[in-house]
Amino acid sequence: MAKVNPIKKLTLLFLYRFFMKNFLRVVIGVQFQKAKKLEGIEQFIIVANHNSHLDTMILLSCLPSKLVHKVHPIAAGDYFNKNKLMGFATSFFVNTLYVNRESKVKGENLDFLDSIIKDGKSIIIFPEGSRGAPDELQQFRKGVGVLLSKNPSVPFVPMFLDGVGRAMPKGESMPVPFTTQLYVGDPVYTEGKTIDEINQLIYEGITNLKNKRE
Amino acid sequence: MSFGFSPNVELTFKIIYGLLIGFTLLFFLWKKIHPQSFQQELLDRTKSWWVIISLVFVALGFGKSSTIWMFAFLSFIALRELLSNVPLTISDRKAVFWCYLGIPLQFYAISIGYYHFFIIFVPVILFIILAMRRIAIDETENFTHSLGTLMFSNLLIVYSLGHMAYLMVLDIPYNENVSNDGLLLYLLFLTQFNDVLQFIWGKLLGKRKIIPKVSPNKTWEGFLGGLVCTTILGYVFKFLTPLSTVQSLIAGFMIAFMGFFGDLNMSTIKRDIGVKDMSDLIPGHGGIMDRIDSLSFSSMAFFHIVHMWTRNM
Repeated sequence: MAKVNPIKKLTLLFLYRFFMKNFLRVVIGVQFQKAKKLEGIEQFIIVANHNSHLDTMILLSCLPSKLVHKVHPIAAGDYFNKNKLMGFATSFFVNTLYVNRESKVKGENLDFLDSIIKDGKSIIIFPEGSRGAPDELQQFRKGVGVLLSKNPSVPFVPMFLDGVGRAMPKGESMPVPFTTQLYVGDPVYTEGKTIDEINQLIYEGITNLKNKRE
Repeated sequence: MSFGFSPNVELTFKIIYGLLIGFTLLFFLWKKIHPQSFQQELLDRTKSWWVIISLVFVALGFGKSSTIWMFAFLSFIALRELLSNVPLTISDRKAVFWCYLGIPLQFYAISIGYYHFFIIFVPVILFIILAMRRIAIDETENFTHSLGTLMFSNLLIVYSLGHMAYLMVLDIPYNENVSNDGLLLYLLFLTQFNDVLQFIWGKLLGKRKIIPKVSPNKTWEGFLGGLVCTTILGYVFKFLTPLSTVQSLIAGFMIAFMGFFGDLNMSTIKRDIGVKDMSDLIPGHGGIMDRIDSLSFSSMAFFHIVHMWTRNM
């Protein structure tokens, strides 16, 4: 397993467990559901709906202290890694790894993600591919299913974020306080399932959490 | 430990904690003796009361500014609760942001006793600023509806909690017994205890529904029972205030009457937008808005009659 820079580890721990979590709770009004279920699992893939930059902040803040530095959000390199400074800052403070959405080489991103998983890292991935309109789920991309079928020992954990699109929608740089909920689902193992079945499970996992909120 | 309270405020806190202990023991006994008829909600509510009253005790104990800023924080949480529940659109975000910016300004004006600014800030300054900000979005849809909602929410929360906070800096004729925190405690205690009294009278005698569509549990018996008891309590706790006998009776009556409508006002809003509670922050009660519903009307009414009377004292 790759070694983690101890300064980065401490920074992430302080930033998310202490600062960001309390900021989100007190100022924005995020109601966290405990992600205790994750503690016993070596490695996992978090899948969630995507409406806002705050999504990643909330998902990182909900993680148990032991795991914060081990979980990498997968971000769009064509957006965050456009220049070196922003790319470095994002990967240092948000612990991101980049894929290139405009890649011309077929399967390049999937191979890269597969190598990360084989490396023992956990990731956060938004199957919608980009931030959509508030309270709407876009068409899910198929890649996560491929990834999971190649790594059957790794479960996915569905999470649903409710109302974040109002707090900070696409195109806005200033968050506005709005009560927001994070729902955490149970880890799902996908051994022996086809790619389509896995993708269906992911979709159901997230929509079940969405429907359960009432 | 006196925390620097005046003797009368100290006495009132002793009475309040006495009542709280009494109710807690009563409910524990009830649960032991007759668990079939006991509702767990009563005990949850009482536990939450312990927390709320202790927070008020500590905030008042630390003095004027801690009380004022506690109300500022409460305004923020309550406003966020309400504005997250009412139907607003993405075009209203910027105006909503300005509502939150207004809170520290409003309570800063209160903390320095700047009456003129405090009294015009929400209905005049914020009214115009919110309209301007919303116009600048260049989206006509829902404009009237959104601004109505935002102004109503601000008056209901920031303005009314501001009135409570201003009781802490109001010029009143002092003597060794009367103090600003006494005045605030008088309002808080009477309004909240009126809720309890209405509930008890309603449970004991309640038959004739007043307003079944808004609130099926409100009965004439509960309302009138609460009204009479609270008016009397207004006289009993007169020692906290600079008011005369007649004035204290009027104040007690006013608090009960306005508290009742404040409560109904919140119930109507909740039924309109289709939620049961505004949030689940306070176990047994719901959200902050569900607890301060009665206060939102009674605080403004009480503040202005006291202001009117004490100006000429």
